[in-house]
Amino acid sequence: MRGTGGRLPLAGAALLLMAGCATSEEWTTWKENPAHFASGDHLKFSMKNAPGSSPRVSREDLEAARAQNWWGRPITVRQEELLER
Amino acid sequence: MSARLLTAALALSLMIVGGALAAPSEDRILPVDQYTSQKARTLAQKYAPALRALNAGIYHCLPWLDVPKQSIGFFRPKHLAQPQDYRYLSLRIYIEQETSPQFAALGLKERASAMFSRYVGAMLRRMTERAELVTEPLLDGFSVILGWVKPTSQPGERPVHETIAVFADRPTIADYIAGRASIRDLAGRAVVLGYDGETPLGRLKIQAWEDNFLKTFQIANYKPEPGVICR
Repeated sequence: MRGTGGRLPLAGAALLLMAGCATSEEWTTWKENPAHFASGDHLKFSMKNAPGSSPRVSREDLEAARAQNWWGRPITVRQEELLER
Repeated sequence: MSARLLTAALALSLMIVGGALAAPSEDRILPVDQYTSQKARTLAQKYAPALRALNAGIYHCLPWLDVPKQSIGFFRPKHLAQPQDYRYLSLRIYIEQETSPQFAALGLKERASAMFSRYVGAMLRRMTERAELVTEPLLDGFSVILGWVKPTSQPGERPVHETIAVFADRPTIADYIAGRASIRDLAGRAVVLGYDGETPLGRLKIQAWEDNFLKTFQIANYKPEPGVICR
């Protein structure tokens, strides 16, 4: 019992550290699994491409899907903070 | 007479093909008259075709990347000593990707390293397709600015971007492009500044590795416009 009080904060700290860091397995998984484009509007693409035909996603389709998934102006660093004209 | 006809027919066919193509907006490139120095204007005029080719290549071949307005050009990095007019060929891109628990589990520096590894080398190779740029005495370096949605952003809320701004001088880029320096060497020699939203995080130490994602990944069923060749 005497030792538990000292160990608990240590265990908590270890858990916090583990939560903040990716395991090597997670790291490898991300590296091996490519991230995909977020906003494929699959319903629209499947409606547009008739059954039996070769499906085709154009640049315009992707622009439309991107516009649909737009969440608003992002909070990000302004170009003027980095570069001058 | 026949030569004239042939030229006219060729011009007409190019116009038709050109008109049929979806084209990237030219407003992604900073207009020449927006620069504040003659050095920058000279570079912008001389390399205007190269900047247009860079813009078009990303638009057609890497369509999950978004180039914001006026994000391609010969800019002066703000962190470098003034009043020297250092000019870097700069490209800013925003990377759209699917939400990934594995990516979200990484710390910010690890995410920055992953994005650096995946995109910086590939963008630099595109930026130096016009090989003359690597030896251009007026050009001092290159910068690649990458942004992506912070994994904690929630749909419906204003998204927060994480950003890294990578700056490297021209000799460093020349070494990398010629194969004399690895992506790891590049990460060690470049200045990488990090941002969480608008908050500067200072200089980040990047751990980079070879990542061939851009050589292998394709959006399902995506086909570039006829006549566009993606390498």
